[in-house]
Amino acid sequence: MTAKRFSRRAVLRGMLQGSAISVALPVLDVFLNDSGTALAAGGPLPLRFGTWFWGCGMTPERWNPVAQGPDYAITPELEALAPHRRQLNILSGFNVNLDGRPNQVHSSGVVGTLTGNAPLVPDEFASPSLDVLVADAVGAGTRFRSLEIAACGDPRHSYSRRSTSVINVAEVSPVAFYQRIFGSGFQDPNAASYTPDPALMMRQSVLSAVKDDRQRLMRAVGSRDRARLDQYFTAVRQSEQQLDIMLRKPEPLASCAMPGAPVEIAQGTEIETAEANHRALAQLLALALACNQTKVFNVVFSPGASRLRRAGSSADHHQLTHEEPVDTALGYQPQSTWFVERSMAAFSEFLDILKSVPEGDGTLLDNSLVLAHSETSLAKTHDVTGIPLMLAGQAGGRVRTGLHVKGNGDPVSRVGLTVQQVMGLPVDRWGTRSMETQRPVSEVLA
Amino acid sequence: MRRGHCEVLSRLCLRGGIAGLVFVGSLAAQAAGIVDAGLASEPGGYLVTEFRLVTPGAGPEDCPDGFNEGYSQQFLAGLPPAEREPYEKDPRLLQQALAPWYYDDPAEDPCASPAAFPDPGMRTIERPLTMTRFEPDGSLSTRELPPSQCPTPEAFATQVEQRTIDNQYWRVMGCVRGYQANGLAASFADSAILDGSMTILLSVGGAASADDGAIDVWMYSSHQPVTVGTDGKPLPFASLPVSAESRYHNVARGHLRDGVLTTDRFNLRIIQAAQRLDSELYLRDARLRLELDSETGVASGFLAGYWDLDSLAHAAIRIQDRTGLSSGKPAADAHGYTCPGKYYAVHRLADGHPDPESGHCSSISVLYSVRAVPAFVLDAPKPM
Amino acid sequence: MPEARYRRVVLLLCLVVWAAGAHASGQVSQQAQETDAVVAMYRLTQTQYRQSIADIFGDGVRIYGRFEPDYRRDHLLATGSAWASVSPSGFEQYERMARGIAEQVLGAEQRARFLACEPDAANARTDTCIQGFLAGYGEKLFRRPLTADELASRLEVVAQVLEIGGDVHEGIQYALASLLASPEFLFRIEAVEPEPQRPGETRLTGYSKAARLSFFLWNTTPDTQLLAAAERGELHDPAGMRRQVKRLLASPRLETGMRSLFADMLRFDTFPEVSKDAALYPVLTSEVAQAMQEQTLQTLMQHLLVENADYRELFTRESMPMDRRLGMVYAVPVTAPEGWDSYRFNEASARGGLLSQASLLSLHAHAGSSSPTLRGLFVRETFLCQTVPPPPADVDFTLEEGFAVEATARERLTRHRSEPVCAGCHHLMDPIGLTLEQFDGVGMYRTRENGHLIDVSGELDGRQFSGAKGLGQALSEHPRVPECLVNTVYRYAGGPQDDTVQGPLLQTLNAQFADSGYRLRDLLRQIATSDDFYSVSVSDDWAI
Repeated sequence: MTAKRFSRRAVLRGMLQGSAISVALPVLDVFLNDSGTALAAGGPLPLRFGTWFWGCGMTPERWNPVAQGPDYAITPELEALAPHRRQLNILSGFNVNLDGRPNQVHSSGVVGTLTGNAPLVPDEFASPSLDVLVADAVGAGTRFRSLEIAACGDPRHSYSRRSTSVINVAEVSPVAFYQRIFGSGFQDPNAASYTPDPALMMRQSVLSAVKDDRQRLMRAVGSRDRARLDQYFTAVRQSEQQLDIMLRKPEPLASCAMPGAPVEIAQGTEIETAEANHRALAQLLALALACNQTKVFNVVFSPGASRLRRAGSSADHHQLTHEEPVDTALGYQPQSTWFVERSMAAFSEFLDILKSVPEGDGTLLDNSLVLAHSETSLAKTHDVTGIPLMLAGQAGGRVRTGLHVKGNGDPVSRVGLTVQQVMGLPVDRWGTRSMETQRPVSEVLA
Repeated sequence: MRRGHCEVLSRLCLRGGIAGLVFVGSLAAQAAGIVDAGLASEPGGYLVTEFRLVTPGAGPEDCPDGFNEGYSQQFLAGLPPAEREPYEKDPRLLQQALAPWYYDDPAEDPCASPAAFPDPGMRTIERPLTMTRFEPDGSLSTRELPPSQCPTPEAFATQVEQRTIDNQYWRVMGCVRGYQANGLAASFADSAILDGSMTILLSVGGAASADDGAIDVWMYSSHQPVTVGTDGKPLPFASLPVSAESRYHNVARGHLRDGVLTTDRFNLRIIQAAQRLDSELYLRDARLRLELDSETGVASGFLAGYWDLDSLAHAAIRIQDRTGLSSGKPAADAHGYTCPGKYYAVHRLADGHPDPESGHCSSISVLYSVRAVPAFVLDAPKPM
Repeated sequence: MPEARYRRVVLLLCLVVWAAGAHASGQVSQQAQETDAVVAMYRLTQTQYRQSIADIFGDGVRIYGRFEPDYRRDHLLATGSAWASVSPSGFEQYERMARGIAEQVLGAEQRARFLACEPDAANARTDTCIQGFLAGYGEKLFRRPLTADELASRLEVVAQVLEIGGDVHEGIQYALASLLASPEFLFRIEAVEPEPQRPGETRLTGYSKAARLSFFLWNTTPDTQLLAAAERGELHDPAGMRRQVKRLLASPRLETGMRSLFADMLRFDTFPEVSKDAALYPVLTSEVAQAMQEQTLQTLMQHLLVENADYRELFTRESMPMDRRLGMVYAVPVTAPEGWDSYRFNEASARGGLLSQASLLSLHAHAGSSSPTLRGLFVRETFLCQTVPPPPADVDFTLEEGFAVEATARERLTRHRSEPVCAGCHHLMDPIGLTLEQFDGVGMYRTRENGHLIDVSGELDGRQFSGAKGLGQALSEHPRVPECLVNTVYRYAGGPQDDTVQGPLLQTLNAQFADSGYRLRDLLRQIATSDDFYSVSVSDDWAI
């Protein structure tokens, strides 16, 4: 209770003064060079989006943080992600709304999250998955519209779908994945020829026309309004400058390097095997991103109704979630939670790999947005309320990280809308029926 | 009449929730038709937020031969130890070995047509049990009793009024892993309500013409999903319409004494749906006992009755799902039993409604715990 | 007020009257707007932008992008819009929205709706089809005809796009985008011209008057008829102005405008920031929060526009719209399965009047409790137009923990009354808010707090009363309440701020409001038809 109480003074101050944003500021009449990494190298670094999926959810009491905002205490099932917490948002309490449709177990949750629409029948994608929407918007300039990898050996472990039947199947073998990217057809971007996009030049002429109005207006306004107009035209000049940079031949991609060919490793659902495959595939994926072969990726560590298992044990994760009794002393299912913790450790390792690629002043992760999610909260009951979600990476400065945000039962489509808007998609609403929303998760927008 | 009725229900009307306040007010000054219509017919409405089989958990001596085994466990147990390893290593092999899990032809499905298969046996609790039972006077008892027996048709007909309603269904499921305190079944409790599959309404009121102050207690299914609040629980004070199907309008004669509402025997049909399940619960000679909390307006207690075996077979063995398939086999395997085993066990332990010709009982006693919050029950049929 | 503070500056110094010969197309300005002096710039609010686009291009055109937050000043966004500017990231969004809109308008699917003629790529700079399109939509977007230069630079865009390799439709598309990204669209710019009857003085241009009127009453861009009236000079003629005001007031679009006014006045834009404890207030889902605002706006529209009732009676009104979601907040039955029903709270109910609506009660409360102080402050500021100073910086709040053991807010707030440093201001707020204590942090009814009966006695400016209904009665009879509405509507409308104009005008408006029986429609008409409302003062920050 105490922690939740507002400072009365702060509230009063806020009410009396409003929040002083967007007021005309003194204008620095210089080209505002973005201080981040976006323009540092002379050319904008590509912005990437990816999903990272694990099956069978989590244990709400052991995964969901309690406090909101930046100072939440790390929970047991999130422990492995503690080193990344400043690059990560934890989103709890966002629901897939079934609106009277059946809960298609292990399917409604993932389809609902990725399409904003609860399926009528299992694995029905009435609209494209989120990554496909993003890839359609940003993926045109790269060799691959998107890349999919899956760690458990089954290429059908992919939730990247244009429709129910059009599935972007996953790469499961590191050797095959290497061949696809770095085999024949791979062009070193450092040597690639460059053709400027005519649309960028057309946009330049738009800004030029806007600027034509400047002198007349500036003469006509009073001093207060002149400062406001000056700020407006400074913003126009910055947009022009961005276009100039985009119209130049790109700088060589310093982090792009051909990796050595991997060796084949065993496939399967035994957890150490899956972890090894995940690691090898993720490293190749990171280099594919560094070489701008794609801007969109999807990783399935384990599928919905995860079959991950421990060596020598017949019970897999999915079975355990249903059959393992809650330990009365502990208050949870100890073996099931172990699989959740290992899944979070795998996501942590994935983030390590993205961070290991330097880019501009930061790392590949800084120029990425990764949505990690599962198909359920408590898998035992196929609960699709409070779906566990994480957003990693600052998307080139567009996303604030380090927060725990509670959805309080809002539709999960708010997260999908947020992703699309961060990735620059022209979308103001998303989702169907009670999941239709116009509200992005504004807490995480920079 | 209404005022008198409200006096009888003073706790319900005035202290049992804000519903009561609005009701009283509506008599005084409401002109708008909607208010009168909503409240005059149903002053004391409730939305059921918890509806759970009472499964007290097996004690150390209840299952001397251990728990029952599902299809997978039986399959593995039947193999020589050396041959088990590949299945234990790769659960997909086990799945394949036991396929199909869903049958196109119900006749081949041991869960859709369990009687067509031999009885593989089912471990049930046979020893005397100390557990909650519903007594003829509407109270609850916890005496230690042996399994109740299937009476003769004549005996049942004459004794049903004086009979303690047992929870014989627990004896059937007591040695099933998934029905233990922290098992699968407990985790699914209420999920059907929360996910909107199953909405049950109660209303107390209607005709108060009986000299002894008896009141009508209605129990309905609704097709409207509950509204869940930010705490993940169904919200009180929702306006919910009853199902248009009169099949799901159940009425009982009730009595309210000292904040406890009990009903006489009534037959109950409600929609039983969950996740993919699409079925119906049919209890015969059921009785309800609810304690009404005057502070919070919450009603909580028990529903006891005799579960019709055909209804049970459809909803809890066949597990008819909305796609037309039977989910019985995967469900049985997840909980740890087999469908024919359960089918024969419920018939063996059935203790209600003996068939006049065969003498076999056609229903089995069962106990549900119930919790409900105040709600506005709409579109209710006019009381008789 | 010294004359110099708002002298009517002789603008002829910079006014170069441009005798532009014959007006070639009839759509390009033949007047001197190139150098008309700008006296005010209002950045379009998000609502105004959306409604303008919908009016000009139809509902089918979607707007893709994120708006910069609107800015509140002196309690109103409308006032803040005269201060807001555009940041680099904000412009990035505006430019993106401009391209998105232009792409839909000129895209193959919808183009025929907007472009009736066949553009001639070979003569892009002189083609009448292209010129007609750009001049026509330019006038709608800029709320005045384009100047010759403005049109020429857009024709240049078309030509450039063709040179780069685009087709003519793309050319027009980018030219349209440049109109949409222009400050002349993104800001509502008010300009003055010489007053022909009184040499040396100035007046708002007819187009500026049209825009001020349209945004005041409809909160959107002037429609064709209003622009035509401006072109004909009718808005400088009292009878012509009255005709237009009458037309705007009679339109169903008045509701759109009045919803914006009251959403601004009641600060509904801050609703998304309302964060409540999920366990304490499970009923407040985001859908319910939305419905709460809608309920209040519908109440206001019903009372003030449909029933044309006395503004003061809002504070004692017994009926309000209700839907199923809100039924759970108010604990009342709602028969309509979807949409809204009317619900009347009766004499026995503790609820009655605008202030007992869940929207206002939720907005002015804490995350986990009600707040008599915030509610009292809201009443003072919003309905009485009074200012309460913020707490002194050195107030020590550490004892607050000790208060928490007290059962009800009244006891917890004792210190506000007992310590002189607090009492000076809190006696203005707490006694008002305490009368609303039977409604918790989301406006649900309760009679007890922590098991103790809640005392709802209170006071407003010397008048004692009890409960929400008592407060509503007191407000409905408080002389400042109607005056405050007049003041708020006047400021929202963008009326002159200097005291020599504002003072007498408000006095007149107050008297007229009383004479009309406190009907909002009359107030709107009186403001909109008042000459002084359109009078221009050029303060000395206007530098020649």
